[in-house]
Amino acid sequence: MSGIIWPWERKKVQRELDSVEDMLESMFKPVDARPTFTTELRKKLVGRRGPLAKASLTTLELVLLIGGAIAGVLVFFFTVVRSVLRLVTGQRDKPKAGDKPEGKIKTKKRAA
Amino acid sequence: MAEWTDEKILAKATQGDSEAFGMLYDKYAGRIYNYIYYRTGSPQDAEDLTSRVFFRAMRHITSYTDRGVPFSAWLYRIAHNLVANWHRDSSRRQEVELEDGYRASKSEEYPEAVLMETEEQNALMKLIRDLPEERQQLLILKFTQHMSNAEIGQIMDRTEGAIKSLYHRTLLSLREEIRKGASGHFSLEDFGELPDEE
Repeated sequence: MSGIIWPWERKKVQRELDSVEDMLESMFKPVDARPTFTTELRKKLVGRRGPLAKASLTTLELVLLIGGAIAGVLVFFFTVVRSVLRLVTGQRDKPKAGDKPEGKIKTKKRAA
Repeated sequence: MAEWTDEKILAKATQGDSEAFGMLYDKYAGRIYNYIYYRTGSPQDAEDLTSRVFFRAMRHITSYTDRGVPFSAWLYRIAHNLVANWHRDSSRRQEVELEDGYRASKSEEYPEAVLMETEEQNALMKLIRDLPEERQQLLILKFTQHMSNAEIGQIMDRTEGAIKSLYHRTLLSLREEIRKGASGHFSLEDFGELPDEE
């Protein structure tokens, strides 16, 4: 059949197209997915192990994370600088009064 | 959270808020599943592809920008691309024949799936499967998602007029196939008295 719809056929064709629409309407019924599938998928998507969960840190977590990182770097830097300075100046920690001296302990001979 | 508008939910989701993404999932999961189910004819593949759609959406949502196209259109485009890839996979296509797919939906594993109850509906589905992909997409969006021509146009990246025209041509083409009685399952009574072809 050619694509031409003659004016005197128009009503009839329209009726037929309406019938086709009715058939389509009755065929395409809504389908429900299995509830277990939708629940499981939701868990995977927004659960604690989901990629978004990793990305969505709270502000407090973020502050603690960055603060901790900065503190760690500062402590490391300070330790390195201190060690280098000591090495350059040749200073050593003086033994404290309570510390035991290293090496063999000499004992005084009692005077007879 | 209950007073959140769609825009706010979407804005939150694009910032990586998983709860907001969960709300979007709740809203669109069923629709996307329906769309894919009718595009593939298989509940198993519909589940698989629906999962992929949402995982892909989640990976890319932080780079989502509102360009006047609704979020649903963005999701349907992802679904469309994945379904197109699925159809291109010839081995899988051969594996899942249409009727087998719908028969699977009758199994106890998928009691919720709506079945192609009558022979006529099966035959009509076969005719639809033989239509070009864009026409199948149009019919599914119109009849399962009840979308307007404008909404379908946003998903298919066409004007409202183009969709209206495509829909009319699709109906004419289906009518023609039915009249030919290609599958032998349609009676002329469906259309009443029909004029001769020539």
